[in-house]
Amino acid sequence: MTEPVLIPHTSQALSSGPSDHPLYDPVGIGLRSPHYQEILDTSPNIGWVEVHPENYFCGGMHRHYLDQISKNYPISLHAVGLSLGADQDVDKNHLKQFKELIDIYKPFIISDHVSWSASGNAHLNDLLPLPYNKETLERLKKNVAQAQGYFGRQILVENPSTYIAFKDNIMPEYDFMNLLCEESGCGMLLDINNIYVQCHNHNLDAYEYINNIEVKYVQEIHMAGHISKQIGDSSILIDTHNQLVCEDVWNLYEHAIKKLDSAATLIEWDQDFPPLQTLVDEAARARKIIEENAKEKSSA
Amino acid sequence: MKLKEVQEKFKRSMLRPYQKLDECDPEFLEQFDNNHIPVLERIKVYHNNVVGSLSKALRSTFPIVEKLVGDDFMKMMTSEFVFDNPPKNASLYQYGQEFENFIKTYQPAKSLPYLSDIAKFEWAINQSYYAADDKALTADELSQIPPENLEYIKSPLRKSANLFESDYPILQIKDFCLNDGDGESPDMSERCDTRLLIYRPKLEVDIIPIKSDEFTLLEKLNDLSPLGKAVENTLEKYPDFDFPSFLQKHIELETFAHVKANDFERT
Repeated sequence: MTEPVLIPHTSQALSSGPSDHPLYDPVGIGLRSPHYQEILDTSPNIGWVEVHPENYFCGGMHRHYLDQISKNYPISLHAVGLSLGADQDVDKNHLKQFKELIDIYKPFIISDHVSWSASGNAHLNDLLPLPYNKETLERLKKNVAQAQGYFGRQILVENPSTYIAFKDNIMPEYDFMNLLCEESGCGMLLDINNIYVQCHNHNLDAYEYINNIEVKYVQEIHMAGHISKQIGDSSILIDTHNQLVCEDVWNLYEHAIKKLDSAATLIEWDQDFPPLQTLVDEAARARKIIEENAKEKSSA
Repeated sequence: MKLKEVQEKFKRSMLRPYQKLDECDPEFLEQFDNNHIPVLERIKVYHNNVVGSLSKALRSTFPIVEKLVGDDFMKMMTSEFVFDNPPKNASLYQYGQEFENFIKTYQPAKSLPYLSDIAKFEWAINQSYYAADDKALTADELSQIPPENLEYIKSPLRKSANLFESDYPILQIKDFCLNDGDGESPDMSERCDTRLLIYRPKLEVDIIPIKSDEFTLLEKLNDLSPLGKAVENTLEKYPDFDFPSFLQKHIELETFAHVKANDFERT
């Protein structure tokens, strides 16, 4: 069993959304159906699991396993469908179904993205990009307020991977994220792989991005893999969540952890699923970085 | 350009064929930085994500349709479906209800008249798999209902139950496809009456072939007809219908939903 590690920023999440489980281990993995039974059978060394609530607005197999696994591990609900950046209100039916899961599973974190996916009645099933300007900020604040009001608790918002940038941007994404958290009272889910992808795709400096994030807002970190696609003489990185975390992203993570001390960290993998052990190994690598950082801090 | 308009135009660019992306509104494309990678190439990444992920979701819900038409045809057909029928909510398992009707009018699939029935069959399986949890009516519960009230009970089917009919040998087609074409190929020349109960007693979906009289009664019960009236109507149409055997079979199969106390009362 891992020694309890202090997770300063998660304590805020716990106070805003109590879980039945205290979080002793800061590193979790995304829970996906090919691993359900093995997780129940082997109780792997992970601190918590995260699911997309949209996959559980139903009965049957998936809910059965989530019921079982939530008895052993704290749960985080990471939405992909609130469409917080859409220029329309958040879908009330989506909020209602999400809230039902919150009431049942008592997640220690709930989150979604700084992106949009719905326009009118069409849901495009992707995290689509936003211009970072005043109009977008006001719309996000309104939708975050609607969600937080409905849930009666704080949500976290995640920085996206984008493949296109708007001319209308009036500030860097990190300033936009900080401002959104400051003005709407939401927390931040910092996706290190997204920062890496984002900075590659738009010729930005990933370390500068992390250095400009307000540490006090960050309550969760995501780590995932991506692929590279060649376009002419250039390449574009695509956030596919179907690979190991690359070395550059691990280096960025170490840099982020030094700034943050620690944060609940998730290993995400959403397609072409590997054996469960691969995710457990990735989680162990993140845990080691957190623990070594804590040791360095305490001996300094 | 205002946010609403940008998003509307972005949506339209996603819901059009890949080959027509270069016909996107120039004013819309002007909204983006055109640096080391051209804007259109960047839009194509999103187009691949949106259309690719939705097509993949449909292929996962309709594997027999895919087996029948092949990978390339399925990718083309699902993409065209996506353009006119994007999901109405963010839960992908609820996506594809209109696929059956789309196939009916999809000209390239005209030579496979049974294809839309296969889509309807696979959608019914999908609905059963994801239906809300509920409890079955047990023999004990049934025995506690006063005999004089039996004819008044309204005992709908489980939430996962779907009654399915087709003129084609759907189960033979399914077995043939899922065995990768090994075994006897289904005889498509003669009309056949397929009637199925598709439901989820526990966690897995069961598919039970049923007779015409059973189908009629289950349908009436599902429409909330009182038991007595439903049996009477079934017997009018099928005088040899064996109700006691029917009841025993479907209690054992756990077809009926748990009834609330007030359902036993006369209405």
